[in-house]
Amino acid sequence: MTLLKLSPLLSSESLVAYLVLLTLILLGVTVYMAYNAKLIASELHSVRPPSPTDHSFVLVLMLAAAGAVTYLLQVGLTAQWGMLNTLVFAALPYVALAIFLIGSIYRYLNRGYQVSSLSSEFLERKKLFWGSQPFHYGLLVLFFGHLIAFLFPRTLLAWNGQPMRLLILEYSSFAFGLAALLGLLLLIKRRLGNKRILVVSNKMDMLVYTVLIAQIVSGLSVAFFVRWGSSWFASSVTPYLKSLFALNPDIAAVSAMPWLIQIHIISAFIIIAIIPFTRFVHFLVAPVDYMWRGYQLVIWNYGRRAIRKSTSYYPGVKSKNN
Amino acid sequence: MNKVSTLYIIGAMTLLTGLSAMAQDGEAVFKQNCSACHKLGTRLVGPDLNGVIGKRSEDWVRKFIAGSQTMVKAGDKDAVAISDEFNKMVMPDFALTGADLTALIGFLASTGQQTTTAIATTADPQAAVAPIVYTDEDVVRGRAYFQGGLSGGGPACVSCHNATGEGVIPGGLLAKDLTNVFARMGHAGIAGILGAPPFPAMSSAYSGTAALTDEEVHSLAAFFEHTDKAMAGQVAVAGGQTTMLIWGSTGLVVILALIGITWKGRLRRSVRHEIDSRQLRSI
Repeated sequence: MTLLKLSPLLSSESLVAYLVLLTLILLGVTVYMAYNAKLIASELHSVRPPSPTDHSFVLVLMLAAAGAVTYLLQVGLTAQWGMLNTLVFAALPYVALAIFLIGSIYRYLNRGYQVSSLSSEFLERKKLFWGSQPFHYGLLVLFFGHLIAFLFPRTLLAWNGQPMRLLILEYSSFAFGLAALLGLLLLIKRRLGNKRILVVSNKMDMLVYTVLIAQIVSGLSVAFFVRWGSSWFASSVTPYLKSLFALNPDIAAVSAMPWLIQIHIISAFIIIAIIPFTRFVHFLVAPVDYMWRGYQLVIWNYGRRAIRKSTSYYPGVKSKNN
Repeated sequence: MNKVSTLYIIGAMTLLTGLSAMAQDGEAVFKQNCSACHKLGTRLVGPDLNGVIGKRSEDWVRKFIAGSQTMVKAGDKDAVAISDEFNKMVMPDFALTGADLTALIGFLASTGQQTTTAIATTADPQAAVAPIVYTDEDVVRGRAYFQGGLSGGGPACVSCHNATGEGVIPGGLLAKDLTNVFARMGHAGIAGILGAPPFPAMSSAYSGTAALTDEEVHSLAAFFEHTDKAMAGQVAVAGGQTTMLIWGSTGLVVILALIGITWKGRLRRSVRHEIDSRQLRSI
């Protein structure tokens, strides 16, 4: 129990108190639900519309839970509780990958029409543009940045070998991170502030927002407070990731890193794990082929008569009659 | 000579060779893991380990090797005293396996049994080695190495460390500030750490072919001596956060502007609106 006493807020006594409190809350919720169930049973004959979910409340709850988990992880990882490091850095990645693979295949085979992110552009377009664009371009650049650092660490280190290039890379990556955060916040505001979109939202969307906030905020904090990550990622995190793929996890380096980085890594694994259950799944069917497919002919209803009578009409050339 | 005494001799010899083999193992473990910061008979970066097993219990030493900071935080009186004496310099935790640790303890215990005078004459590195001279070129080269271009292809020091000085960008904040590292460790300590980094993230970065050459280590030590002198008595502050925020925000504005320009011709109002206005014009 000496390890537990390291944190003043989490001494063994307060841990017991915390557990007792948690049990009491659970008891309360159970009694409340039982009471509610009785009410519903008594009113079975009357038909009531399902009450809409308060998504803002759900999001706040999830954010609070994520904060608590982050705090516990920070305390635990800093004090190196028992097997916690092995659990999150050696076991969690494989669990996440297994869930991701099996879940994605299952979803594709059984609910193939739901392998998408349920577009809501039809319901609201203006706010979507300034949320979605910075968010997606920010994330895309950062995703490929991480991928390059993983696949070509030597190349990246050679690029960073000159201080000016290192600064340019770091500052621009930071800008893309800020763009992703701004876009995400605008998207959250849009979804929670629009009744049409609230109807097509679900709780998993709120979970997506929660882990994305955790991921982007921790990433920006790493870039800012534990900076020049582009270099040390290539030299110290890449060997760890490679050891994972070699089925021989070497967690010494990541275990010794500051907790912000560890949180960033853990939440990345969690994102991978929840892909099949959330709108994240759309990244598997990203329309990459847009880049090389032929253009599609979209015919607008310009003046039909003018087009019919035109002597200079070529398919694919927009008629300019008005 | 009868059979019994022959057996005795063989037994004793086996025991002796076994013991000496163990002592050698312990010495190898010591050289590999400890000698960067510890010497026998003199203090280097960390305390003199000659006869440490006599001073502290074997159990205490084992615990300290496995987790010195844990002991300091738990308030172990001796551990706190040592930490304070050595400017709170952190000793990394060593996850030595049982056999290696036992060999190391055996080696440390064996040093205590020798007379201190014998060791003091043989193991005094400062007296035996001529003082190291750093030239200005060394400093210039060290400054360059600090920021990149290491021959082994390893990451630049600046990726994780800060060293405040002229011509150096604000350094990384992952690991310790190195502005005054020369005062803390001296040439021997720096060379020891760079030769076999005891920190997991650093050792994985400079393992194998990425290891530093002697020339690089020398130049870096020269550079650290220079920054230490230039910043003597001052607290080094890494800085650079404001610059990062400014450039980050500027970049954000540029990204937003690029998005706006790229999609300038996007559909801003409903298709219906466009159709209606067109029809009105064509009447």
